[in-house]
Amino acid sequence: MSSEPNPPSDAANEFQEQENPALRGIDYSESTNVNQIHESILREKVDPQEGEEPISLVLIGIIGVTLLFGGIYLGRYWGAFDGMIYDERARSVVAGAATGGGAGAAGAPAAAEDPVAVALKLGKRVYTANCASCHQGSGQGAAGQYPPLVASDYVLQSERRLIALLLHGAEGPMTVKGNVYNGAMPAWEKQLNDKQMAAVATYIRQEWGNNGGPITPEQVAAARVEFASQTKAYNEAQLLAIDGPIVVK
Amino acid sequence: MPGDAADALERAQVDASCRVPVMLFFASAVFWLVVGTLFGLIASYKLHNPLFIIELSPWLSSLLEKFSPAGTVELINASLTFGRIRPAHLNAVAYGWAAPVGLGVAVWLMARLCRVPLRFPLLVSAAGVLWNIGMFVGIGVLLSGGSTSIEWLEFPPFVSFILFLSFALISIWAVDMFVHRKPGHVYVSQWYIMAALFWFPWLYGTANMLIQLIPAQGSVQAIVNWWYGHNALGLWFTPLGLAAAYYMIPKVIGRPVYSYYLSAFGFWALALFYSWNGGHHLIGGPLPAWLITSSIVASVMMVIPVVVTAINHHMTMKGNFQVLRYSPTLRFVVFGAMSYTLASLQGSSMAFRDLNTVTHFTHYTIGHSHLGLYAFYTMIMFGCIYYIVPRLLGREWVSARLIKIHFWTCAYGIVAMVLILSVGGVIQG
Amino acid sequence: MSFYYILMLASMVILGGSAVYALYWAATRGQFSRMEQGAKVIFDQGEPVGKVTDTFPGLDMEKEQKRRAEKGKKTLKRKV
Repeated sequence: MSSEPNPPSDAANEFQEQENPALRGIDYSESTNVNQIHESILREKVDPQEGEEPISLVLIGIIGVTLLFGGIYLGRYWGAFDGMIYDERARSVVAGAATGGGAGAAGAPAAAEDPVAVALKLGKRVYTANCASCHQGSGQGAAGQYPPLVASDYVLQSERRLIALLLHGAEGPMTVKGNVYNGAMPAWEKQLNDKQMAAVATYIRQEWGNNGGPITPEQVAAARVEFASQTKAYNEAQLLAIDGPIVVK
Repeated sequence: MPGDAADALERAQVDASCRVPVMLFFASAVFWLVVGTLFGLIASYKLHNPLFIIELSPWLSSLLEKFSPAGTVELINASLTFGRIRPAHLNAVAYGWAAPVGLGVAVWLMARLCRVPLRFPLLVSAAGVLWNIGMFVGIGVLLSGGSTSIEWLEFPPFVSFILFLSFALISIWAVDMFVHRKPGHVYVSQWYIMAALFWFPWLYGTANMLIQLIPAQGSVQAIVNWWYGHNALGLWFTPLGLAAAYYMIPKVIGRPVYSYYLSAFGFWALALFYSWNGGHHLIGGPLPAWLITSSIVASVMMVIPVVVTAINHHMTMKGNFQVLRYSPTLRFVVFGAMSYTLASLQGSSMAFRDLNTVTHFTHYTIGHSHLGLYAFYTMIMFGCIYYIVPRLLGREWVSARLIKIHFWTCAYGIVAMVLILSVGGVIQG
Repeated sequence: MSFYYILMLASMVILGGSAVYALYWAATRGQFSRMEQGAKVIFDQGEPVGKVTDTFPGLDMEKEQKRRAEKGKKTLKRKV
């Protein structure tokens, strides 16, 4: 493609104004002033060569925006490139560790370890994968939506009630630590086996400053049988009926 | 004009050398297309009417029982269940239709672009026969229940090996043609084909190795599975489709590609970004966040080569859309090229976690995959067949009307299918 | 486990290296210069730029163009 000669540049116009205002804007080929003609040629842009045609600006814009977006998305959700962080919402390495980074040690054999420590490791993994999305890695939940687990009576008091709650879920308004939460918690009886459920129950009873006792898989198995007749999620009244009302200390 | 005649002679020689293997590929591919489509029809019907065929024809069943060995009816019924027929459909259309037709077109394109005849076409034909043997055995295994249950890799390992061997035999001769090509510029289609032929054995080999031979553990297997599945689409079928489009569109309308520089840029952008996409099939899964995130980012980055290709094709076609009236090849190929843009942009949008929570595991995904493999790849391949076969056989197509009917039924069919599946998928989600 | 690392490293080296080599090969062979000429490589004297090379079977382009012109319809005017 050949390009036509470019219109006179502004500098040439300026020069021309100094020379002769009447000649402003006319085609240089009509001018008989040799200097002017030379000026216009010298200021003319070089013909674009094959292969050096500029890419359209719009395309550069699209590419730039795409790359920018990619960078932003990557930066926000990169999970610190840690193989153990499964939740993309982890904002920093520390937060990532809290939500799941620490579970990396679970890969190592836990041969002669204390069963509670083993359960805690498993429980943390189960918690991160299943519970943290609502109750958060910090156990604080979300105001008005998900009750906190930190220093929660449902967690720390009756063990049977806690297991029943995990097995069948809960819905409807519930008061936890003085605040009302009206949500729905799914049932985990099919998703978690006895060992996993005992582990996560142990974990939430001993994390974040909670000092409850561990829960064993046998307790979970017994609770499955005991509460087998419950087909829907519990409401608050039913939960409080198990082992009596919450004792506020 | 002597130059005219010499060129025509060269083209005829090249075409003649390819005739048997490419026709073999095309014919068997069309066979598997029919079979695979039938499977797909049965599969989709079985989804909402599982007793189809079993219940509808008790007289047929009793007839079969009388005249065939015991257990035949059960076998047929079992082989038509969704769990068996859906993988049979997938493999029949992917490895029975899409791969052979792509290989046939690739071989012919390489021969034409390198301007050298295919050496030892008999070997390539033998490879085609071997491929079909593998297909028959594989589909038989699938229908009788021996699937590996890994999506896109349902064939048992020994069938994968047969396909791999056949592929190697074909691609060696394509590379041979490239090595012996007439000196000069390497056209962008050759780049795409060589890249596809180079990437596919790596993909297929690695995937089979990591899933069948030395299985990776747990969720890593899912990662390998979808890395393979998505790259089979993007580093194997897409380059072949694009190679065909970049040749057919300019060739049919008689106008060089609008910006050749952009086409090279698009090629390298595809090569860079595509392979990271696989993880977007696993969004929300128990996988490290960085893997999923980088797949989403890569899916968005794919917008770059797709937009570049779309610009190229559109600007090349600009001012020439009337040729669509006269050329069957162009109709199919332009439909395919436009669908490529649409499907890819849709795919990039589906990668976002928010949309993904709605559309994942729904019919929307199925609509998208058919948009890509049918509306883009298959339509382009149809166009190529309409272009190549007359040149191979020296005979024109019998009926222009049939071609037009073919085009319009395909167009309406795929548009309706994609729209309905997409709407249904969103409702599902 | 170490097998996977080896496989991963080997794949990265082979694939990344091949890509770099391909770019290098193309650059040194002058593939990136004379781009416009490269785009024309698919044409030759028998099928030159400007010639439509595929039509429906039985369609005679010249007759068709004449027929359309007679009917007052748009004929094929193309930008090359």
